[in-house]
Amino acid sequence: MISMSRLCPYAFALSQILVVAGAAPASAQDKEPITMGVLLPLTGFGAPVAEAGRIGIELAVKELNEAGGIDGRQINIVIADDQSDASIAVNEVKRLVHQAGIDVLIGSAVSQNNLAILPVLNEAKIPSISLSGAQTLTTEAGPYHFSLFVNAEFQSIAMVDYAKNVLNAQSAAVIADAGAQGKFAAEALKRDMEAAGIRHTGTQEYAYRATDLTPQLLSLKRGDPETLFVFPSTGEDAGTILKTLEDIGWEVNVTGNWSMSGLAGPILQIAGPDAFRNTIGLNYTAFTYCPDDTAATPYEGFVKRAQDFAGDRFSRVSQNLSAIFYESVMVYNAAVQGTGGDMSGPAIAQWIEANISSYSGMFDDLVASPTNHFLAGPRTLTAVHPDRQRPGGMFERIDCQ
Amino acid sequence: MAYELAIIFVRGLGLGAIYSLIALSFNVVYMSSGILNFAQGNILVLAGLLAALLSPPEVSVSLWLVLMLVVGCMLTLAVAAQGAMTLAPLRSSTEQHSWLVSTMAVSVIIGASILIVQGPFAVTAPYPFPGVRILGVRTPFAYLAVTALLVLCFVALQLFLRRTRTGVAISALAQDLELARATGLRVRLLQVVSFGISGAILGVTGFVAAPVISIAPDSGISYILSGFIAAVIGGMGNLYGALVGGPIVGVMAMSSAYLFGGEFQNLVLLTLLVAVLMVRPQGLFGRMSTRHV
Repeated sequence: MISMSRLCPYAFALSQILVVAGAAPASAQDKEPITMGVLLPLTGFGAPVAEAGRIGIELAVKELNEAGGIDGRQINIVIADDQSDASIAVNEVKRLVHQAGIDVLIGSAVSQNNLAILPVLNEAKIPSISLSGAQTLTTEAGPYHFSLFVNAEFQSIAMVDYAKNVLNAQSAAVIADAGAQGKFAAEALKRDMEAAGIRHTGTQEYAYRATDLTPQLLSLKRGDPETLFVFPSTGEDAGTILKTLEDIGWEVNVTGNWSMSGLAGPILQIAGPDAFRNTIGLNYTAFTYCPDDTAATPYEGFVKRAQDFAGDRFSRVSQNLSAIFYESVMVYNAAVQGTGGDMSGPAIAQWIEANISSYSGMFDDLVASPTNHFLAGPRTLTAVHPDRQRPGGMFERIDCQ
Repeated sequence: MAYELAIIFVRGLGLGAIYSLIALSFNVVYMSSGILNFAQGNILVLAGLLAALLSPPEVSVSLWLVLMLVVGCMLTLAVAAQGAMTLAPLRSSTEQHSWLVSTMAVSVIIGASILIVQGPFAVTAPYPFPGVRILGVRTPFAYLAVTALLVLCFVALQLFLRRTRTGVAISALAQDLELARATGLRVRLLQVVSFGISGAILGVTGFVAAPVISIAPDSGISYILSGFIAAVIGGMGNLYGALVGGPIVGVMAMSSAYLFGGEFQNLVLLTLLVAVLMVRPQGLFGRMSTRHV
C-alpha cells in the first residue's frame, strides 16, 4: 500500500501545476484558440508542393504560438489533403468549415482546386490565403480569398518583357501544362506577345508528369521561334522539357516562369547539370542576390530557422515555396492584428486591401485592391539564372552589374 | 514533317512497347482467371522505384543485369502473393467480382507505400547504357531495351503456353475454366502462377524502362490506363493483340500531340478505343466466343 508520506511530494507538485495554470494571463486563457485550416495536395501530382507548404506553415504557427499567438489566441492547425483533385478539395473544405469550424484557410496550392472551393468559403465568409496563379480567382469569385503566389498574368508580363527587351526576340512559342494556371498562362503569353510585337509561332500543352514531350517540342520547333516560353507547374515536368530539348538538339533560348528557378532541384536531377544552359527563370526579388550583396536578408533568416525546425525534410523541398507559405500565415497574423481581432472574411479582406502595401515581412511591394487579390504583383518578380544559386535557394539576378 | 513523324514513330514504338508489356501482363492473368489486375500500373512504378533505390549512381552492366533479375524475382513472388490473396475469397473468379476492389486496394497500398518511403518526389534511376542517336535525335536506350524485352517476353510466353504442360494448362483455363476444373487441373494454383508470370513481366519492364517512366506515387494510373487501352484495342486475352495494341497506342498518342496538340492526346486515344469497341468489340485480334448454357 502506498503511504501518504510517499504521495505528498506528488500532491504538492500537482497543486503547484494547478496554481501556475490558474495564474496564467487571463487574455490567453479566456480567448478561444484560432482554428487554422490547411488544405494541401499531400498526395497526387501536387504533393511535392505540399511538403514545402507544411514546413512553412508549421514553422510560422510554432513561432506565433511561442510569441503568444495571434491577438493573444493560440493557433490550432487542422490539415486536410485535397489529393490534387478539385472534387476532393470541395469535400475536404466542407469538412473543415462545418466540422472543424475553421477561422481561416491556408491553401490550396492547386489553382483548379481553389476555384472549386471558393463558393464554400464565400458562403461561410471565411478568409483564405492560397498559392494559386490562375487569374480567374478574381475578387468577384473569391471576395475573401488572397494569393501570395504571382499569378500567371504577372509572370507572363515579366517573361514577355524579358524576351522583348533582353533577348530582342521577334518570335516565340509557348509550352504549358494542362492545369488551370497553365491554360491561363498560355492565353496571357499569347496576348502579351501580340501587344509586344512578338510573333506567336505555336502553343503546346501536356498532362502533368508526361512520360515523353518529344511531339510537343518537335511541333513547336517547326515554327522556328527565337525563344520558347516554358510554363510548367512541377519541377519534374520542367526537367523533362529541358532534357527533351537537349535530346532533339534544339538550341533555343528558354524563358521560364517561377517554377524554372523555384523548383530547380528536381529539374537538375532529371535534366542534368547543363539543363539551364540557355535558360532563365523568374523568382521573387526577395529570393535573389547579386554577387556583391553581403547583407543578410529576411529570407536567409527564414531558411536558417526552417533548417533548425525541419532538418533534412527542409533540404528536400523547394525552400522558396516554404517561405511563401510561411509568409501567408504571417500576412494573416498582420491582418487579424490590424482588424483588432475581427477574423471575419469581410474584415480581413478590407484590411488587406487597404494596408498590405505597408506590410513589412519577407516580401516588399505587396499589393492589393478591391479588384486584385494577388498580393505579389509584377514588381515582386525578377529574372534569374536558375543555375547560379546560394544555399537555401537564393538565385542570382540577371540584372546584376 | 515526315522527318519529325519518323522520330515520333520511333519513340512511339518505344513507349508503346511499355504499354504492350503491361497489356501482356494483363492478358496472362485475364486468360487464366478473368481478372483484370488494376494494381499493375503501380507495380510497374514500384519496379522502377526499386531500380532507382538499388542501383548505385555508376551502375555497371553486370550489376544492372543482376539487379534486374532480383527485382523481377521479387515482384514475381509479390504479385503471386497478391494473386493468392485476391483469389482466396472467390469460389469463381469469373462470376464473383470482389477482385475489382482488392486489386484497386493493392494499387492504393503500393502508391501510399511509395509516398511514405520515397516522399512525393519523382525519382530517376541510374542506367548503364547511354542514349543512342536515331535519325539524328538522342533516344533513350531504355526505349530500345524495352522493345527488345517485348519481343523476348512475347516469344517466351508463346513457347511457354504452347510447349510446356503448365502453359498448356493455363491455355486450357482461358478456353473453358469449368471444364478445366472438371478435368482435374489445379485451377487455383495455375491462376497464382499466372499472377506470378505477370509480376515477372511487370518487374523486369519497370526496371528496364525506369529512365523513361515517371517514378512517382501517383504515376501508376496513367500506365494502367494506356496498357488497358492497348489490351482492349488488341483484344483482351490475345497475346498478338497486346503485341500490336501497345505500339498503336504509343504512336497514336505521340502523333496526335504533334499534329493536333497535347490537349488532344487523350481524346484521340479514347476515340480510338470507342471506335474499336463499336466496330470490333472483341478487339483487333480477339475472337468472338460462344458459351453453351
